[in-house]
This record gives sequence, C-alpha cells and structure tokens, in this order.
Amino acid sequence: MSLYLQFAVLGLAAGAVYSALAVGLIAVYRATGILNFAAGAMSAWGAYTFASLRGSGDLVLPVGRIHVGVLALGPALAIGVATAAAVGLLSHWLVFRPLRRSPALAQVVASVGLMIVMQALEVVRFGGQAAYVTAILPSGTVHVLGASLSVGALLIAGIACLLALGAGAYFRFTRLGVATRAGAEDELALRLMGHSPDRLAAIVWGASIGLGGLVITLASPTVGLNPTIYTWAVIPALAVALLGRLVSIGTGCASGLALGSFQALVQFLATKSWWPDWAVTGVQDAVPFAVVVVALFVFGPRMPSRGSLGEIRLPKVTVPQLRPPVVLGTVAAGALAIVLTSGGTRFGVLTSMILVLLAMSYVVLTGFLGQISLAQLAFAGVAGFALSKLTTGWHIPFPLSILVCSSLAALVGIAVGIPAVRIRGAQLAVVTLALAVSVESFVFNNPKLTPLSGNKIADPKLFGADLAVRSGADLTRLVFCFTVLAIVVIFTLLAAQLLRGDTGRAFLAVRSNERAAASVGINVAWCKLAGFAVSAFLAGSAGTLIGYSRGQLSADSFTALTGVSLLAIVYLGGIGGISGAVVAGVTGPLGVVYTVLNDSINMGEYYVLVTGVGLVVTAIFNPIGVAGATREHWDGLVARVRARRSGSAADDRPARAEELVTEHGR
Amino acid sequence: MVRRLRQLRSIRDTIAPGALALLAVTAIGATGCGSDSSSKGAAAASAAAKLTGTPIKIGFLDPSVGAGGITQPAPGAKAAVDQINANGGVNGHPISLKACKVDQTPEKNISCANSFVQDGVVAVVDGFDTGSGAVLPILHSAKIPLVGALAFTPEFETDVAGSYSFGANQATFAIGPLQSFKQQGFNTVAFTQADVPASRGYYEGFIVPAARSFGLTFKPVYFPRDSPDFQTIASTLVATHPDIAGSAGLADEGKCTALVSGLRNAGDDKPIFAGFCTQYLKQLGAKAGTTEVYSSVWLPEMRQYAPPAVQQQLDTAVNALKSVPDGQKGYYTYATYAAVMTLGKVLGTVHGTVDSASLVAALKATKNMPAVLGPPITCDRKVWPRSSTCTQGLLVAQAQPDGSLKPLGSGFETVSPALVPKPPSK
Repeated sequence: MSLYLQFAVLGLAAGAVYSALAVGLIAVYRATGILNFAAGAMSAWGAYTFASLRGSGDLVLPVGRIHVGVLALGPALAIGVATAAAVGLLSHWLVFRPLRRSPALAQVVASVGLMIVMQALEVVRFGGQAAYVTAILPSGTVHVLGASLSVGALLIAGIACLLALGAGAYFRFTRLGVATRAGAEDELALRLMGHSPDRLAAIVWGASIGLGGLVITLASPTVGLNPTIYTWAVIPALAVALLGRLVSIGTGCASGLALGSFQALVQFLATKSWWPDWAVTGVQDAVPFAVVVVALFVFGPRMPSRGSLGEIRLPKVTVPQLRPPVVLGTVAAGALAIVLTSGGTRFGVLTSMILVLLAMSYVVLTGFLGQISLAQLAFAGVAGFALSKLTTGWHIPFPLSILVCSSLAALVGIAVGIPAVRIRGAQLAVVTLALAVSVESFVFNNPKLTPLSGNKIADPKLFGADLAVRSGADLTRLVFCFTVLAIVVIFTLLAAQLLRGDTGRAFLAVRSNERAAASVGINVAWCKLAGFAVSAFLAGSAGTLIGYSRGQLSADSFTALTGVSLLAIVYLGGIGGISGAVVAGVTGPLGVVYTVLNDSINMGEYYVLVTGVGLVVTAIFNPIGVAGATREHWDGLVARVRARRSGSAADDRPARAEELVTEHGR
Repeated sequence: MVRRLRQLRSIRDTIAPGALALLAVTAIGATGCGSDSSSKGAAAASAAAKLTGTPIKIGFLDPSVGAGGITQPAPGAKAAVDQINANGGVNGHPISLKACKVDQTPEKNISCANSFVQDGVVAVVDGFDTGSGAVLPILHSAKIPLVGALAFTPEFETDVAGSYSFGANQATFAIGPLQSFKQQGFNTVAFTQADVPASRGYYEGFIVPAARSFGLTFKPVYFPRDSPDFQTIASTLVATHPDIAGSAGLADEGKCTALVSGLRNAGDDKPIFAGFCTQYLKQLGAKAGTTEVYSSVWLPEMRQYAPPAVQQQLDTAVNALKSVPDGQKGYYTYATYAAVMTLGKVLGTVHGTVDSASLVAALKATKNMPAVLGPPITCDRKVWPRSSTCTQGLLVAQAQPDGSLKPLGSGFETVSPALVPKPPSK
C-alpha cells in the first residue's frame, strides 16, 4: 500500500503541470473563447530559458542569443517566467487578437500552427535532445504511513494549487477578473462599461503562459525537459479542463493532479505480472483520451460558448464543378510531371499525388462539413497497418487490398464520428487530437501489432503484371506512378461528385447551422457520420498508397504531429475546395515543391518551422488559403475583362446555383 | 592482450591489396598530434584539394533534426572524412560525404535514400537513426550497401543481404552485460526503455531470454517515448529491488542523466548501467556513484586502459574532434568517426574502379581487418548467424572516481552465438 501512495505522490509533479496548463486553458477560454493547443509548447519556452541561463549563461532568443553569464536561481527563474509571459502576450497581440471574430476553424488552425512553431523553434534553438536542468526544489523524501514521499513533488503540487487559488480569486474577487468573466457573457456590454476586452485578454494570456512556465520549470528537473513532453502535455491538460467544463478552475486543478497520480500508478502497475501485455504500451496516453471522450459526451452540449460581436463568417467553399477541360488538364499536368521527372523528383511528384487524396479527406470533413478533425493521419495509419497484415499475412491482392483497408478506415471514422454528433468546433478538435495521440501510442507502437522486422508490404501486382514502385536504380517506376495517378483521380472525382450533389449541399447546411439544417429535414447525425466515413475512406486509401510507395511502414509515418502539420498544409492550400487539396499536395511534406527546394536549398529542420509560421500567417491574413485567394484574384480579373468588354459595371451576382448555396451557407 | 596485438599485426601484414590505404589511415596518428585545429583544418582542406582522383561519394544519414534528434554522430563522420582526405584520400581519391538530415521518420529516410541513389553514392553510413530501416528496400534495389557503427534498427540487424555493421550485434549487446553482471555477482537486473516496437523486440527477444539462461531475474520497465517522467520511471525500477538498474541504450544523453539522477534521488545506492552514455559523468560528478557503460569502440575516457596503438588512434580522434564542444560529443561521435575511418580502410582494398559493387565485394572479402578504435572485423557473414555484424567484441566498463572508464575484463569481450537462448518451440 505504501508503494501505491509513493507513486501517487510522484505523479503529482506531472499532475502539477497538467493542472497549471489546465488552469491557463480555462482562463484563456473564459477571456477569449479560444482553446489554446499551444499552451504547453509556449510555456516550455520559459523552462528552456531557465535551463540555458543556469547552464551556458545564454539568454536564447528566437533569433540570436545574449550571453549574460550563468545566473543564480532567483534571477534565472524570474527571467524564465518573464519570457514565457512575453510569449503569451506576443501570441495574443500578433495571432489571437486579430482572430477574435474568425471562425473556430481559423482559431484552431492558428493555435495548432503556433504549437508547431513553438516546438520547431525549441528544437532549432535548444536542440532536440533532453536538456539537463539542475534541481530547484528539495529532492529528499518524507516518510508517511510507511511510504517515502517525494518532497519535491508535494511542493510542486502545492505551488500549482496556490496558483489555481490565485487564478480563481482573480476571476472572483478582482474588478478586472469579474470584468473578464462578464466579457465572456456579453462583450458588447463590457465595452459599453468602458473595459477593453483586448487588454483583459492580454493579462490572462501573459499570466497563464507565464505561470505555466513557472510550474514547468519547477517540474522539469523531475519530469524532464524535451521539445515533445510539454507540447503533448496539453492533451491531458485539455482533458482535465474539459472535466471542469472549461469553467471550474478548482475542478481543473484537482483533476490534473489526480490524472498525474493515476498515470504514475499505471506506470508502476504495468510492471506487475498480472497486468495484461496488450495494455502496457500507450495506456498512459489512452487514459486522457478516454477522459476527453467521456467529459465531452457528458458535458459537451452544456459547455459554455463565448458571446461574440456580430456574425462569424465561415471559410469560403468552392463547390466542385468538374468541367472536363479543367479535369483533363489537371490529370494531363500530373501525367506530364510524372513523365518529365525522374528519381527523387518523381518520387516527390508521387508523394504529392498521394497527399492530394489525403488533403481531400480534410476538404470533405472540415471544409464542407465543418468538423475539425486532427485524426486524419490516424485513419491513414489504420489502413496502412492493415495493408501490411493483409498483403503479407493474408495475401489479399491489389486493388482489393486498397478497398478493404480503406473500408476499415471508414469504419474507424464512423466510430470517431459518434462523439461529433454531440460536440463540434474546437472541442471536436480536442477529441480527434487525443485520439490521434492515443492511436499512435496504443495501436501503431504496440509490439503486438508490429513485428521486429517492421510492417512490410508486398509489392502490388495486377493480372501478373508487376506494379512495384521501384526496380534496381529506377526509384519510381512509371507504371506505379500512373497506377497511383489513376487511383487518386478516380477517388477524387467520386468525392467531388458526392460534394456537388445533395450530400454536399446537406454537408454545407450542417456546417452553416445544424438546427436550421435539421428543421428542413436534414438528418444531421447521419450527415456527420457519413462525412467521417467518406473522409476516413479517402485518408485510408492515401494510407495504403503511402504503404505501397514505401514498401514498409512504421508508427513514425503516422504521428499525431505529422497529422497536425498536414492540416496546416491543407489549410494553407485552401480547405474549401479541390484546388486547395491540389495546392496542399504539391506543397506538402516530401511533395514535389519540398523535394525541389530541399535539393537546391537544404531546408532541413526549418521546414516544419516555416510551415507553422505560414499556417499562422495564413490563418490571420488569408483564411481562404492559397487556392482560394488565387481563385478570387482570377475571378476579379475575369470580371474586369468582362466589364471592359461590355463597357458596363461588372456583374457581381453569383453565376451559378452552387455559388449561391455557398454564399448563403456562410 | 599482447597475443591479440601480435595477431592483429600479422593480419595487417597479410592484407597486401590494402597497403596503400592502410598507410594513409595509419599515418593519421602521426600527423594529428600537436597542431591546433584551425591550422590542421586548413592543412586538411589543402591536402584534399591536391587529390586528383575521382571523388568517392558516401551517403550519411545524419539524425540531427526533429524532436529527439541526436547531434553527436555528424561531427564524427565529418572529422573522419577530413582526416582521410588530409592523408591522401583512398588511393588518391578524395571521399565526398553527402550528408542528408533525417528525423527518425521513414519518410525522411526514404527521401534521403532516393537522393543518395541519384547522387551515385557507393555506400550509405547510418548515423544511428531509428527510422533508417526504411532506406533498405531502396538501397537493396540499387545494390548500395548500408554501413554503420552498430545495427541500430532490427531491419539493419537482420539484413544480411546488403548491410554491414562494424560493431557487435544486438544479441552481443544484450548478452555481454548480462554475462558481466553474473560475473560481478548480481542476481536481479531492472532496465528501462522507450515503449516502441524496436526496443520491446530487443528487450523481449534478446535480453529477457538471455537473462533467464544466466539465471538472472530481469525486470523491464517501459516508458512512453514522448513523455517520460524519469523520476517515476526510476522509482519504478527501484521498486523491483534490482542489484543493478539502468537502461540498455538511451540515445539521448539528457535522458541518461535524468535517469541516473532519478535513480539516486529514489534512494538507489547500487550500481547503475548507463548504456552508451558518458555525459552524465561530467554533469553529475560524484553524485552518479558507481556506474557502468558499454561501447563498441574505445572512448577517450578509456584511454589509459587501451593498448598503445589504440591510444594513438584515440589521440588522433580527440584532436580531430577538438573543435566540437564537450557537451556535444560522446559515444555516438567516436563510434561514427571510427565507422567512417574503417570504411575508408575497406575502400582502400578495392582494386580498380570504386563503385558499390566493388565495395560490396571488398566488404565480403574483409577478414580480421583491424577496425579503427574497434575490434577486428570480418564481414563474410559467418561471424553471427542471420546478422549483418562484422564483429563480436564489445567493451563493458566501470566509471572510476577520476572520471575515467575502466573496461571490465581484458578489453573487448566476445559472446558466443551458442549463448543465445533458442526461442521456445511452438
């Protein structure tokens, strides 16, 4: 029994981090209505600054560094917390303030982009390996009920509780805190009373990230400090914040500490002989996912939403038109790109084509149906891993293998879509991100599913013809590329046909207003499940093509971070249409643009950073993406030419019924 | 040891075709000492510029990017290439190192493999990237060998068709320390490792059955790769009451330090096994207590216990890596340096045109060649069944109060394949 108590207390250090981040998440949500996925990565900057000031004596900035000499504990801690607070303030002024009246998708995308930027920046500026942090709190133990309890962990938990009490007191007893809460109910009234919601939000942003940085700094000698640990700590933190219904700071704090203790107990119990083998891997990551799903299923419909000024515009959607010249031209361009390239560049073209299919899954689910999913790559992974089993174990032939594996992914998509029936917006993003992390840990990394020699995939063959991706020094065979092009074109056209018909209109109606859609006879639940199924099928088919093009797969092909980065790329391209998916495919990771750029200027570790920055900037200044902006410019040009020809003012009425639907769908 | 040195000398004398290359590489020891790094670098560049032969292209998978990326190997590879070129290259041909950054993902490794094939490299050196198994289908197809200081992935380990590891195989690294623990009188061992299929396969496929065959009780503790809490992990290890705790191979020095520190904080006063790590020795000092490590090559911390010839090689290596800050070099730097230097020696044995086919032939013909900083290598595939390894030797060493690492036993210890437990019959 004493051992259980000892581990429960040990887990309080990680629990304190969850608590501090959860309190910050709740505070920011109350002040701005934004769920900040970047909270952990932003706060960790403070801990890195502290470690650097205590180690090399450098104050590391995003660009450049100042050598100030090795500092004593107090000044180093103060500067660390101050830099974390500065990161919070800057993100408010530069990113989230301009997005206050943007749709939830833009806010989620910006927040996810910031998470990518901060993690990449920490890798580039401080290195990818774990940093050594000297102990700050006493490392001894006290003996209670026969157990040796860590003094450090108890102190960190106490500090996290004090900070939570302080945050609660701020919102309850101070004039500014009460005003912040009032702003969550009615921002217009708050402005009329002479308060500035922006200034109130800035206080909350600075304080929440700064104090998160303080707790992470205190916990880092015990828990560790590396670029991934606190980036992903946001998931358990979101889980416990949701348990507190994004309102209760006390519940968030207590649940965070309890979750940390529970995870430490699981770590200990997993070494016992009676613990099932299959439940050893990833179970600690699966627990927060279960908490998120249960919390949202129970509390989801009663979660408070923030009052806002004016109508929130949804991102523009372009209904597919499928004009034969455009379709044939695009396919011909793809074929030409295959023929005119060779070796690694052709492999880049191949990857781009597969990414188009993956991007289409985002267009269907997020662009048309308005469901923010961060688990698309998990769907692709499910199909990819299934492909390995089916082709090497059961010898299922191509192309039946693709259909079977994609259908399996669709079934998983439907299962994930069930929570979406009750929740939406950023909360759904939380569920899908937690799912992506837990599937990565619990399924893809599970040794029961992955043999020692890796997940190998048999080369595709059709009627005896070898369709393998490579042969000898020919890295990317034409026959494989054209097979992939054919599959991508067929599935994309089928998806486009679906989106331009009744189903697509129903999706748009659900995206615009679920109640209004239901009132005109649209089955909202069916629409959501169908959207998840179609989207997961497309992602799954992309996963199988990734598998065939690689020859073998591992969990690292389908990490949650890669999935999040892909959403970034699709959003950059334009999530509201097929053209956006094509742009995303061309510019996506390891696609043709990346390959060419990497060959000429080695982007290396900066690619992720550039992607993240591009995502944030796009979310702020160009929410319709590259394809959308290009289309708008093109439409404007055509209108001007027409006006000049006819000598009259350009007719700006929507030319087609589909566009009318889109406009009204806003 | 004297007998081994004599054996090595006689073997060296018998390898006539590689005499020129051996001369070039052994000359390194004489030229490296005493000069400062900048003048030496300039001299190296000047010497390389004088080489008129066609450059021999070698690919290098540099695992330095991404979260979890390790920066130690790249300086080792570069220093080795500079050194070979400064000493006449390979039979007059300079080596051109084509480094490609990878981040443990198969995608980046595949992208790099494609570029290596396009560049026409004759071999690819793996810099300890956990995703490097993904390059094998591409390299196989192009008949380019994968070479490395260690078979760091299961795919590399089992790829007898096209991979060559200049360090001992996974079974040796599993059994060697256990053999040593048994000799030291330990009965219970508790190791931790990231919970990913490769390490689970290594622990449960090699270490657990080997420990059983030695009569040792082995307790594995797995942790989530992206969110390890080392204090909890250390306490979990301590709760199993081991005679020695630690890890068989954390690639991240920071994690090693956190683990050793966590074990001491958890009240563990018994020996700790720190795998390939060495930086914790400087970071924790006396607080680290009694610790043991293993290695596939002689390290600078072992210099005083190494044979004279190896001491000279170590001095050369240390000098070549002088410009790399202390905190950024360790086992992975020296092992990569040694692997590239050894590859240079093998390349020197190639007759006529150097390409991937002639290199593979030279690798297969390599018998008892003294590796730089390591044991002799024989790459005829008979060293260990179904393994890409070219040697069986490994060093197990104990940290001394002066910060040095003293090998246990008489230097490189070998493990017999007969010690590998047979898998249970179905």
